[in-house]
Amino acid sequence: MSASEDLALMAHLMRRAGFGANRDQLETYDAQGYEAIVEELLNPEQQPPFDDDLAYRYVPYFRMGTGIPSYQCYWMYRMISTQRPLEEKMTLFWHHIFATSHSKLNRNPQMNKQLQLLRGFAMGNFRTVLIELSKDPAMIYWLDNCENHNGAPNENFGRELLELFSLGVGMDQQSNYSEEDVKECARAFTGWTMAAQLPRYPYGDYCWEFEYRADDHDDGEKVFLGERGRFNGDDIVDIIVGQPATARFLARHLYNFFVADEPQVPAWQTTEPQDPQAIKMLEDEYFRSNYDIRSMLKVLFNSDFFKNSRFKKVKSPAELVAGVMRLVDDYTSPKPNSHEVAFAAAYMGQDLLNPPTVEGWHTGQEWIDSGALVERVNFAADRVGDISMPGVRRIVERLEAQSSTMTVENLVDACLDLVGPVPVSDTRRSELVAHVRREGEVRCGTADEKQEFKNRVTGLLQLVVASREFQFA
Amino acid sequence: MTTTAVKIPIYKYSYTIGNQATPPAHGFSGPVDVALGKDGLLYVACSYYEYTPSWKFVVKCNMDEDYLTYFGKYGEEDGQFTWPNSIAVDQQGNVYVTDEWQQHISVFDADGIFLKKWGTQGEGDGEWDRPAGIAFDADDNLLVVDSLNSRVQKFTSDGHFISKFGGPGSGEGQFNTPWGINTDRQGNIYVADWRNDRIQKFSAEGQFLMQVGHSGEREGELRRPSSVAVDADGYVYVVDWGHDRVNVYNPEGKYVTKFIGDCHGYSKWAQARMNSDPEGMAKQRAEVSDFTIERVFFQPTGIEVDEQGRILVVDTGRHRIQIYEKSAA
Repeated sequence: MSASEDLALMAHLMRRAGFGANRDQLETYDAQGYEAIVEELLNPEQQPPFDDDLAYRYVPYFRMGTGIPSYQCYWMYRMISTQRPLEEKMTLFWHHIFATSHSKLNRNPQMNKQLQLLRGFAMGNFRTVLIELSKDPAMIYWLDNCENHNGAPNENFGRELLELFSLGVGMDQQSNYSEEDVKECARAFTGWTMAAQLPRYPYGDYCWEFEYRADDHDDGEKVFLGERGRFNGDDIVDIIVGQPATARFLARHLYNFFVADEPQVPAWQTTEPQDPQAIKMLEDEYFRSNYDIRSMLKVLFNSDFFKNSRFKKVKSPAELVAGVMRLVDDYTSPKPNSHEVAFAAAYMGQDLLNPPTVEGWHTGQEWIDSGALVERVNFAADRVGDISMPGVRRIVERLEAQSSTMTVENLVDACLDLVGPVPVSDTRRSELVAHVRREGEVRCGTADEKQEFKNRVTGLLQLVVASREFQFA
Repeated sequence: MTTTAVKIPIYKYSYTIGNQATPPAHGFSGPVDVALGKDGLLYVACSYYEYTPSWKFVVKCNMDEDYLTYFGKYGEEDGQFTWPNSIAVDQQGNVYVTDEWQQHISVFDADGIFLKKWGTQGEGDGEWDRPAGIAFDADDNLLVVDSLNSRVQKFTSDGHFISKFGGPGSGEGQFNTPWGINTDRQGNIYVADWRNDRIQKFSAEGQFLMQVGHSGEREGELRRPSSVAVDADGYVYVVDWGHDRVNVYNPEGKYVTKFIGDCHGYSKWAQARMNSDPEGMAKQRAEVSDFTIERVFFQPTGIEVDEQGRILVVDTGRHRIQIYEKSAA
């Protein structure tokens, strides 16, 4: 593989397993090699922990705010500045699946606590994931398990645990569970609730804590997915994680999030995976590793199907926003007005911590409509057009160093390379070349020419990020 | 072998000022520091959200919980704040507020009328990079923690540079991103050496005298101390920011005890809040059996000791000031 191909592959890895990287970072990663970086991503504890002290010192509400923007801003700041990108990307992955919204909770620090939970088990064992999720007060309240009582079950959590969090409705044209399974699952999770908590006022918000009430648990015999016993919630999870449907469900989610856009989740019962062999590899690893997410990710990132999937996914708004900020190398330490960045994702259709339903966001091409596209293009163009951004300045400096021998075509190719590399169609490249050529040959000798050169480069960068191709990861 | 027992003063929680509210409602939003004026006056700097302009402000109130006025908002015009960090009052009663993002100190009169601001980012004498804690000495000169330059600078109250001490590092007299500052009755200077997890005591001329506390997770150890105050007997009160507690050290720097927060009952403003929705709040509270979480500090930041020896702890995350009293050791 050529050096430029290696770099392009590294850029692909960092877009998918993280939130992108600027050229200086890519060159550093590339020097270490693909497999080494995969290992680094999979073992975030080898990287410095996130500097929360610095964040909380300058932006106190990142820790103690009572409004949901506090935590939307904090999370976006983490996505942009973390040195453990896959840990944060997996947090977003789980947020997509275990979609919980502040709109019902109205107890906003609890949403941040859920993120801490997701981050904590980001690449752990799926059994642990489901057990911890079932004990999460945000989830318990969100899906009414606090109303799930012995003798008066509420099936909401039990149903979504099966339908949206583990098995899925069905696969291979078959249903994965029955209505009776839902009812028995709900019975098993009676008594899994949270302790009452103080109101927000007068001294600020408090988080709920999980509470198991044995006296409210239905200890009777249950039949679940063909097994019989006096099951409690953790027994149910044990049965769930051993199901082939769970392996399929998780494999398809990982594929959809990291490899290529799949149909929306409700269609999975009747729509085969686009790459059955890839899904089979991930399913096999799920069982071989005893349900270990990190092992599945290792198989995924080192696979040919992943390496060959460049630009087959539409960037989610969070990916686009964090990726642009990483490209321009801004917001690497706390700054005011973090909401201007965090809210941008919401304007593009992804209001973090406020998914539209428990089903989460519809992804892929559904991220794009005319309004969202305008937001995406404007956000990216505003940043790459700002020469005060460190990453933009470094792009200009790199190009200035080559400018004496640079043709218009060279300049276009170099900008496409430094923003991604972003492979564009011949038609798009011709359009960009024609646009630059209208302003004459490339010159960067005199002071006036240098200023003009900066303007031409930033203008060209804006056109690159406005391209269709840039919308893909 | 004989041992000498460390005398431990007796501390008692007294009362709380504040609750979560945004002007003109009576309360604080993310209070980060408090300054003592004359006759029980308090000025409380609040630094909360940035997505609307009303959450950066200073509250003028008093120890009797009377809400007098407020001033300032989010912004970069005169009298506005981006990252207000510390607040102090000079002998004329004027109020000084540092802003770490805007890199200047704003000065207001006692009623909150903007008077002037000064400050230039840089490394030279009289310049700074992120002005953090401030305190007036007995001569009414202003001590400023120049945080990212890892030093302390002394100015006249109208902003003329006088002297400096410190530098980057972890040795005696060196700092790593220091934050709060205060003086004792003898004029000695105490600096919260934030990233070095310690307090350093200096003479009025900036000569290193003593280190108080060190990094660690055990009793008496510190994690990112943000602020410091000293009482008339020389006891040192350190906001152990990273541990959500206040550590107390004797005049020799030996650890004696801690506060973790003891708020019970309601402040005057909190009671008014409760009265506005007695049934709703009371109903929720009636279901709760453990009120510990409401009592303890959450991200405390600032601290002062008033003329009567009362210790005021700025309990940032709970939007209030918890007040303690000390009886004789």
